[in-house]
Amino acid sequence: MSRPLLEVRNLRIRVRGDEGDAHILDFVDLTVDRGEVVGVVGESGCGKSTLLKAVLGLLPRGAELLDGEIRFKGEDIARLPRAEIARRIRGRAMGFVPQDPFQSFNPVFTVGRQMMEILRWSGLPGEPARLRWSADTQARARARLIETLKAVQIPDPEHALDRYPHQFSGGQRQRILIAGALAARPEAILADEPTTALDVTTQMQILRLLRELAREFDVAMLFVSHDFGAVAQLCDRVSVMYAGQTVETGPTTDVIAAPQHPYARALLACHPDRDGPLEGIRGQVGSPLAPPPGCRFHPRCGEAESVCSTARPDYVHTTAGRHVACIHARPA
Amino acid sequence: MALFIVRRVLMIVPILLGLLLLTFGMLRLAPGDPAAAIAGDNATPEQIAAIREDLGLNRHLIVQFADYAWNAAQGDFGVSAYSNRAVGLDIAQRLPATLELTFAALVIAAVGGIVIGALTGAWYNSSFDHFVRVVTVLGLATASFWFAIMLQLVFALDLGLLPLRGRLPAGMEVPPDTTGFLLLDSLIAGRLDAFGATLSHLALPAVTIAFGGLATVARFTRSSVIEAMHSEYAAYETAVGYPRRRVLFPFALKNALVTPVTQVGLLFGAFVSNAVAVEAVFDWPGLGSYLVQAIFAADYTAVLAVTLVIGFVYGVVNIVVDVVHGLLDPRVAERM
Repeated sequence: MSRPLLEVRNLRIRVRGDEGDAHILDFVDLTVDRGEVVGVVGESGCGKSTLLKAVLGLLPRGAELLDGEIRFKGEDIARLPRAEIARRIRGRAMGFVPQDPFQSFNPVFTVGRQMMEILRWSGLPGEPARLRWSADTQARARARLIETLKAVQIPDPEHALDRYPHQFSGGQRQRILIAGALAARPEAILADEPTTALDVTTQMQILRLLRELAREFDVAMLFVSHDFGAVAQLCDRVSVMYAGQTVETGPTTDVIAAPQHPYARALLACHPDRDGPLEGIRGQVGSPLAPPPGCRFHPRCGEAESVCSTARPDYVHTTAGRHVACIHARPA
Repeated sequence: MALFIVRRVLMIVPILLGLLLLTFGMLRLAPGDPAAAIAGDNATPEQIAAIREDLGLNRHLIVQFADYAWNAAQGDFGVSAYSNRAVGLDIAQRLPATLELTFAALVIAAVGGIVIGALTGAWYNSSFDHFVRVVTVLGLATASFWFAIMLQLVFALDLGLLPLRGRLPAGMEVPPDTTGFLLLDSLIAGRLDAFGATLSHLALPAVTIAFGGLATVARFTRSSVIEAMHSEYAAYETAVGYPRRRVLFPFALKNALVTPVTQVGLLFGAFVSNAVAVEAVFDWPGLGSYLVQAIFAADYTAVLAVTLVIGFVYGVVNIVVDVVHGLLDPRVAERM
């Protein structure tokens, strides 16, 4: 079996700070293959965005890789120098879709100028990244941008390039940001809650678009969200994170139909689209500065036993493609 | 954008009207009867009335104002009661020297402040940043006449690098007066020697005037560059592969320029009043000494004419600033 395009294995990252060390990622496991959309869900502060930053080499200074690896096409990029990640990975091999379409654009440059800058440094095929392009290359780059804007269904893409971000609606801006992620024809797309800032109708459209684009461009898509509903619509597989740990992974339909980790169950019970009474999860995600020992969820877990507070549970392979880090999980 | 520029330029009309009303009002409010003052102590009421008739002082105020505005538009600000010379001529002779000096100071403050501010903002808390912070605090706290004398002592007297005073070396032939701005005039006449000499004479007084303003511009630029570099869009630009130097320039910097550019417009006023003292130290043949003289002689015509002209230039400078503002940020152009 060939290796998946993007593999995160046992990733452990610690940040040294004034108030002590924070284990912001502690055993994160994930794979994404071409044409596949994988969701990462969890409450705020669970390390979802940190995971994306780690993949893109954007962790704050002082972050240190304790263990594990991030393999992209088999190469461990977790240990690459930042400069090399910046040059080879960001924008070029992996496109990035940010969370907030209102704040992520530079307000004083046209969207075309900003998209062109992504292409410039990620390089058109056969064009080295450089500050000045010949008129010919410039025209080729522009044609590429227009083509990409068409793919995300921006009307009149020719003129859209010469307009400023504030002249577009939130949904259109998010489409343009997605086009920016696709401009260099990357092999993977990392999306950081790309629908959170949008209204519900627009959310639906963006999710559908992402689904279609993942197939059309044959990219591996990693989709981070706190919203199980969005993950259900978009993702083939889902990975549930709690306090920097991956607690459950599996095919989305299976996980939603029968979540096996108590945290996954609790998170699903919070979702308003679900039948039955709406429940909250008591307590809050613990501080990464002093995480609870053992299973990090045990202080909030209704099913915790004494062993949960001492030993981190191993991943249990339960059913096809499912792994659960809980002492109650039973192997298939 | 074109419409925005036209609208901004038209703003000069109300500014000008307001200024004219102000100076006209002050002239009329000045204590004493100008006709009686001109006629002297032994004049009969008939003589005073004749003079009043002569000066048009018994016409309707609106007519007088229209007359005043019309004359001012043609550069005729009346005759100084003190020197009996046409104020317009005096100003025309001295204004270019002052404007050349303040504009040079403005360029130094803007360019120097923005470059230093951008560098310290990009590498904030570096030792360079700390050094600049100390210097800028000094810049804000230093009295300009003292600073002027220090510059003269070091650069003119000790090192002999730059001239001590004046606009041109004694004995150098002055280029033909086309604009009154020596830099322009010497270029027009193809006199590179005069151009260089003018620049070296400008250096010390212009730096003196610019110092405090440069410090202000640098500090504003620094903090807005830091803010822009910590913005969400800068984080996004990094995540999609912009090199850091591009995130900084031009992408963060263009955003960060809005505040300091506004500052530059406001500085012009401070620079003109600074110029009064600095011109005295550097023996600069500008409006400064003229204004001081006029104020001591209670020469209202001259003082208000200078006020009007400086106010007008101030308005123009700030309209230019607004236009630059609109060019930097398209949202500004759409709002106004």
